[in-house]
Amino acid sequence: MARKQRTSETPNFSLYLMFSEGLQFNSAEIAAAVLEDFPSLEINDSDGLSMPMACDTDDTILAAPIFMAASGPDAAIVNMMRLPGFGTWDPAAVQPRQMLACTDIDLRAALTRNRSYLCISAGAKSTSVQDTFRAARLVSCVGAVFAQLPICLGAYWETGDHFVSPKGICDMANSAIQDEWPLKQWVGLNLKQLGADKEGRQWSTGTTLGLRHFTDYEIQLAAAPLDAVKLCATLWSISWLPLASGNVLSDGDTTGVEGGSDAEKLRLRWLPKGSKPKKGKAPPEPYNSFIAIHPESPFDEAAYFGKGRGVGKRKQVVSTAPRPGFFKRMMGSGHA
Amino acid sequence: MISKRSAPLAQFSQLRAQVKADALREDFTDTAKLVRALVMPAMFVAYADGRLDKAERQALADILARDHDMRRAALNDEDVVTLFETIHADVQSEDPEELIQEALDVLDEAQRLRAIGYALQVANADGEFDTEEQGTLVALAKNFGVTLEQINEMFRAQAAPASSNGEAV
Repeated sequence: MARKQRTSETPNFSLYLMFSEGLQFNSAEIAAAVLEDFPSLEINDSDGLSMPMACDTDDTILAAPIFMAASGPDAAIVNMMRLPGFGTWDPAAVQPRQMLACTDIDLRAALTRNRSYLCISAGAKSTSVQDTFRAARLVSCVGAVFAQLPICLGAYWETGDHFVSPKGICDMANSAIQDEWPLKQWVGLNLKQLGADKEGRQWSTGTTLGLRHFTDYEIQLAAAPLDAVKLCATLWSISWLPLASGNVLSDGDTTGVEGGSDAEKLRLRWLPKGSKPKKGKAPPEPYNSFIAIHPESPFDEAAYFGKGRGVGKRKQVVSTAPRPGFFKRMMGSGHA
Repeated sequence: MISKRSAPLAQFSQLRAQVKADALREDFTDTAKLVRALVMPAMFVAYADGRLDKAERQALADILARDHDMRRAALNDEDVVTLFETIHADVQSEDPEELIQEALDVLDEAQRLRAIGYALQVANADGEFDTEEQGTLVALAKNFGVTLEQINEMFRAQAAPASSNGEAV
């Protein structure tokens, strides 16, 4: 199954900021604060076309765009909104995976104190990695302006389907402004621990959540003898390859720890959206994805790919050798 | 749960101003601690002979004016006087070991070397590098992880006239 060029729509990134009380602000002061805190953003908002709007996060409906007429590579319309029926989360319903990027606060206590919210949203200009990065970064920077306030409790990063602490919001903006990928905040993980085998090794499986908004695919890890910590590290490190390192992943590529033996390397197989095993009753894949297969994984490749389609073969040359600094060079390293 | 409140809402501008002021205060506190730690060895050396003379005072003022961390602190005259008076009082009354440890906790390796360099500069300020000053400097250097070779190198770089053979200690 050969990979096709990305055809999906341009992604939109949303951050739902939670506050312990309502907040009043003017949209113009938010735009000014973003440019003051992140002066290296290439946004020219000095044409006087902005429309300052008085905003109140306790209003039933709020819709205030900023950077509407701004120019520059980083410029995009950022919508600050709130709508009835959104912005509340049941602390009891929060799943552990949704707290992975939020371990520095008591998230459930924060959700209990949530009294008001504001959604920050921006769309990418294209599906290119650079443009999606710029859109996510802009949302992060606007979010960081609010996250510094003592009334901010945290935020929900929609495409990663997880929560980020106030410090995490500032961290992700500060990383992104240096053209670095804040993967832990921008990409969520769905993990499942499968228990220990006879040798006492922990087995896990998992998938990224939200990587597809940057690359058009998610990364899955088939059941592997890895504990949760190694599983997270593996998923993030594979995600890092196409984003920060600029590697184009291909069906059959192998990836692993530098210096590790080939036998330990994970094999990547391409699963387009809608694929399902030729036998069994597994549902079709909801998104494009690469499935990373550990040598010891019981994942039935033949069931998905049929026999004679490279099942079990391992390329001699690892085509996913990392290229550190690639993305920074692509971005021109203009941010600091 | 989202609920309406009758109390006045928080104002972004007020909260941001408060956050900025807190950050500035914290930054000033951190920088003031750094400046104090950088000057501490120089002050010990200056007081090694029991007095802070005019040349030593001038050398300390020059250090404060030139050091980039100290310039970043943007200390005004009042801050400088307060800093001097505080260190002056502490050097004379506090446990030297505690003061040295306080400085060590703040300074990294490069800053420790810089602090000893300042101490050397003050020791040479009046043109007399006497025994008490040498002893204090060597003891401080040992605590700060600075070798005699490094002191001699700094001494030569400062081209001090205190020693005819070009050796500081």
